[in-house]
Amino acid sequence: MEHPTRVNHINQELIDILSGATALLCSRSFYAAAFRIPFIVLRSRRIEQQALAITRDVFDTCSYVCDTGACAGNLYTVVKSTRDNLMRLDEKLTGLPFPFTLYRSWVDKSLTEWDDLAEDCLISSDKDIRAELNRIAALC
Amino acid sequence: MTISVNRPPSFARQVKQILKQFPRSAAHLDAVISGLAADPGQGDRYPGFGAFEVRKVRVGLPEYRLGQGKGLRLIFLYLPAKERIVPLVCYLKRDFGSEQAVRNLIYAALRQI
Repeated sequence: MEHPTRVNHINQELIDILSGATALLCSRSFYAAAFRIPFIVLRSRRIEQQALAITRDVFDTCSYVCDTGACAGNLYTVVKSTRDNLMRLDEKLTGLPFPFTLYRSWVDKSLTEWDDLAEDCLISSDKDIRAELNRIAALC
Repeated sequence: MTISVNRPPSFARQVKQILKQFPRSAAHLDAVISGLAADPGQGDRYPGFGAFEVRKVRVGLPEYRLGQGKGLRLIFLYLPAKERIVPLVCYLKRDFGSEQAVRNLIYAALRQI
């Protein structure tokens, strides 16, 4: 079982890399960005996969030990922040010429995963939705 | 052990609405919903419900070349003690960052059950 502190740490590391990549794409030097982006993307891809696996692991573990969904609520802030940074990077990559187009499919795939996770965290920790689910389960 | 899938009327209405947009996927979607009984442990489990399980599965629509990522989301309730599955909400994956809108959609759908 992964510890939530590890989740915060690895997500923060990923956020720093993603915001660095976004800042680089905002800079006016096309060639500097084109040269450095592949290395940044490779590094962020590795960390992103680790971060996703660890965060999902915490979420899945929570589903067996938690009674209130509170830990999913705590995860939401971290996951949302990572997802938002991926969105910003995706926006910057959109419309850029080759070779940046190569990285869009990876960012898009990652975004789907993080967006789903953000959705899961929000929905499973929402009190109104939880109350409705408990009501329906009692009815059935 | 035989698990039954009980579709509430509000869920059937949601599916009907979705199929207006994706009519060629009717058989596929029906098979996915019925197939929940064969593997009730599929998808991501939402935490904190103890005696019952709430899960979300991603459904691709191959007829429209939509993979699981861009396809439908199906949330269902699994009551192991009663050997029953109740599909709750079905919706099309929206734009990134719209979880509040999804939350409102799910809440509205649950209130109709």
